[in-house]
Amino acid sequence: MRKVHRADADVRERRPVSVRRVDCALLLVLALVASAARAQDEGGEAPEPAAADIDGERPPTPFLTPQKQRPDLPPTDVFVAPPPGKQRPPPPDAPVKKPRVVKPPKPPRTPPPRTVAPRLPAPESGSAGRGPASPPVEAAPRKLDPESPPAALVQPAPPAENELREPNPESPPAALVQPAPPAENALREPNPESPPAALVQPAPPAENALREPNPESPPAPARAPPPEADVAPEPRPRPTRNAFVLEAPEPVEDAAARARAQDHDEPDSRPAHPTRFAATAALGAWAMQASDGTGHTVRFTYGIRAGYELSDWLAVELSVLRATASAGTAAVNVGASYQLISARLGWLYARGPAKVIVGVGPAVALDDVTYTVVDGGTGDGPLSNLTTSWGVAGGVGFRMGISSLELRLDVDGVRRSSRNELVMTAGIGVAL
Amino acid sequence: MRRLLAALVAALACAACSADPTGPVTVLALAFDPSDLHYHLSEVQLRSLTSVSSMSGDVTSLVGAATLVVDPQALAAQGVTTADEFKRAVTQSPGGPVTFLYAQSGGVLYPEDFDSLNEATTYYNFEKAFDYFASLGLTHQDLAPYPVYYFPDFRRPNASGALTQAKDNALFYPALKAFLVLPFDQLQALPLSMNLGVVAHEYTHAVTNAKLYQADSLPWPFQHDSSDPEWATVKHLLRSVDEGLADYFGANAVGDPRYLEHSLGHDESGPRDLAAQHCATPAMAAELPGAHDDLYDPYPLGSVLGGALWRTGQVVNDRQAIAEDVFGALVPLGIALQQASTSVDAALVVETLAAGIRASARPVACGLLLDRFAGLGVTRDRVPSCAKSTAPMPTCASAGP
Repeated sequence: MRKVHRADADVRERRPVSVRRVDCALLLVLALVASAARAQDEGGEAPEPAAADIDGERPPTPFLTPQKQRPDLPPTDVFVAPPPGKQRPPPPDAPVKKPRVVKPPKPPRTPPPRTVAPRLPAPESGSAGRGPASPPVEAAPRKLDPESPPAALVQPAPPAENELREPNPESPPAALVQPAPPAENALREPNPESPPAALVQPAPPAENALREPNPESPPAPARAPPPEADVAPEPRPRPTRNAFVLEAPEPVEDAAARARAQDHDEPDSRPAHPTRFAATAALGAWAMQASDGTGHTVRFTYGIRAGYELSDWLAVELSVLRATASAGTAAVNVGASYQLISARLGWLYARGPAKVIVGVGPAVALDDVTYTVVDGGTGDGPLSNLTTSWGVAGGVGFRMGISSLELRLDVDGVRRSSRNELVMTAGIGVAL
Repeated sequence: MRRLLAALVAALACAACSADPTGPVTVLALAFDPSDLHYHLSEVQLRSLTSVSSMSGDVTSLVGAATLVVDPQALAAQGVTTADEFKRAVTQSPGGPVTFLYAQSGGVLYPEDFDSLNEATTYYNFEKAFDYFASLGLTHQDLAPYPVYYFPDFRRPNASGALTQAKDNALFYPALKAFLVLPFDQLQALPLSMNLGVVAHEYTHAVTNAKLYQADSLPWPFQHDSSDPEWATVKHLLRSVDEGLADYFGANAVGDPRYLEHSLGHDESGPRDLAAQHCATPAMAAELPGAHDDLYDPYPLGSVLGGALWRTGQVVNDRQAIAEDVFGALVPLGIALQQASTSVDAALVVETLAAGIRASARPVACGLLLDRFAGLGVTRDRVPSCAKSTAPMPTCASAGP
């Protein structure tokens, strides 16, 4: 609404003001949305880092690389629910920390497949009284050293990863290498010429038997001899070996599905959902440039701030802040309300419940200025003028989540119309 | 992704920057409307700005947040003798350029707060004041673009000698070569710097300083001690002449003899209403040599001069012509004053001004000036230019004391 007088003599020479103005608001918004969508796409892959590893692709480079962060995490890290992007499954050659993950047999303990026969110990070196002596059978007692029992005996769950990764029957699954192999291979390939060693022998490296069906070795009987425990129970406690061997093998499909489900259903290592929405009410100070040459004037401001985490390292935030001012005399008064709407796309760094967001984005300021002039009983106004100016806002936000309570502290720098402004707010709200 | 973000940031930074408009700009300011003699919000054009954001241009430049302290004791202790030394001693903080905050809409710059509106209006008024004097013959070479201290912390001794912050005033300070627009406190009407008449009044002081005293920071009449009655008379008389001319040109610039009423109200501005009849009195004559510098009120006698000149313009129905003549008479007046030295009196001022007024209007001017200054002993025989001028006028004698 503009209802002003025109000084004809002054506006007679009026001409457009030579102001360089880039009116690319729509373009900026579209660009921001596109970047946010892309960032979300990248963040959407984060919950499946295993697939990225399998495919050989590297996950998005986070703000702080998980490779560096992970060793420093305390043991309770799994309860902190770190972001999914930081939970890449360990590489096959990485040292395994979790007891459920089965490591491939190390060379000192498990002879290489092709050198099993020459390295097989003499029959007398094995446990006495364990049935017919055969090289694979005698190899088993070596691996089942009571001093260092095989991991497979303690952990019956086979490494599903290896099964998934190497479905090629010609290269037997790594699980078969373990002393306690799943018997499914033996059941699926009931080759009478090379009977599955797993059925014949309680804990042999079945892999060797399957890979190198030595024709000279006597075929195992169709019915396996009673398990070692039944025949000659060891004084040493090995209760799980026979039971493990006699377990019904599960189908490969079920194992794979279970492994995949197990891989995804680890609530202690990954958050249920990577995104998080928070909205807070903000109060603070808005340092604006003073027009009287004194530098800056600080005005009380209030508003709302909302944030949405696109991924573990990327977040988008929207803030709407308002400040008011009024000055003048009884005859001439100028009141103004300043609205600042800013969106920023920022890097997110989380450390436990605390988060830091550093971002930048577009800002639009809506300045509603009201002029009131009363001169000798005749006056103008109130006349209002609403103007919009685009700018850029960048800042740092500190967020602290306590359950569903969100506390935050923000410092934003705003540049608009060749002016630098500073907004500092503290907020409290909810996080979803 | 990174390229996109970089391009986005660059675009935003470009959008956040806006070049400082140069050249003529249209701003929303408070402008005087001669048709109804009131101030209104108007879209006015500022033609002489070189920087909109700092409100500086060819006419003046606004300086904010300055601290000026005129402490006579400190000045005496520092042995200040020259104008430069005085300026350095007084200026405790030079301040800096103001920041005109505006929002642009439809080619018009809208001030975003009161100070910005005041600054825009102040510069507009100074530009209008210069334009007015330019119409009378003033050039940029005649008067340098003195700065305007906007709302400075200006401290000077009050009547009791204590340093206090001056407010509710606007002034031209020859020693600083600057205008001062002081903060308002008690005045809640139109701020003084928003009043075009007030600005023109102060601008007249700068013009008279340039024309009468060659822009001297400390003009010769004011270099002498006021304890000498002769010099005190000269100083007080010339102060009144200065104020009278300032009121006259201020009223002419806006075409309103009551231009002060917008800011000071009717009661306070009434004694300086140029439309009223102001007559010199023996009391005024007695005050010239006797009053202390700080206690002398130059406005009553100044209004006598201003009212006579204003009335002359009204009678001849050509205010602009009379103003041009008076403006043209300033330089001869300065010369005459310097030649007269301690012999300066009201008759010399009247004679010089009357001689400068065109012949067609001189009888009216002489009739009014002789009548109004009769209380100071100004008679026709002491004003040769008015020896043959007669005009029937309502006289101060008929109006009473």
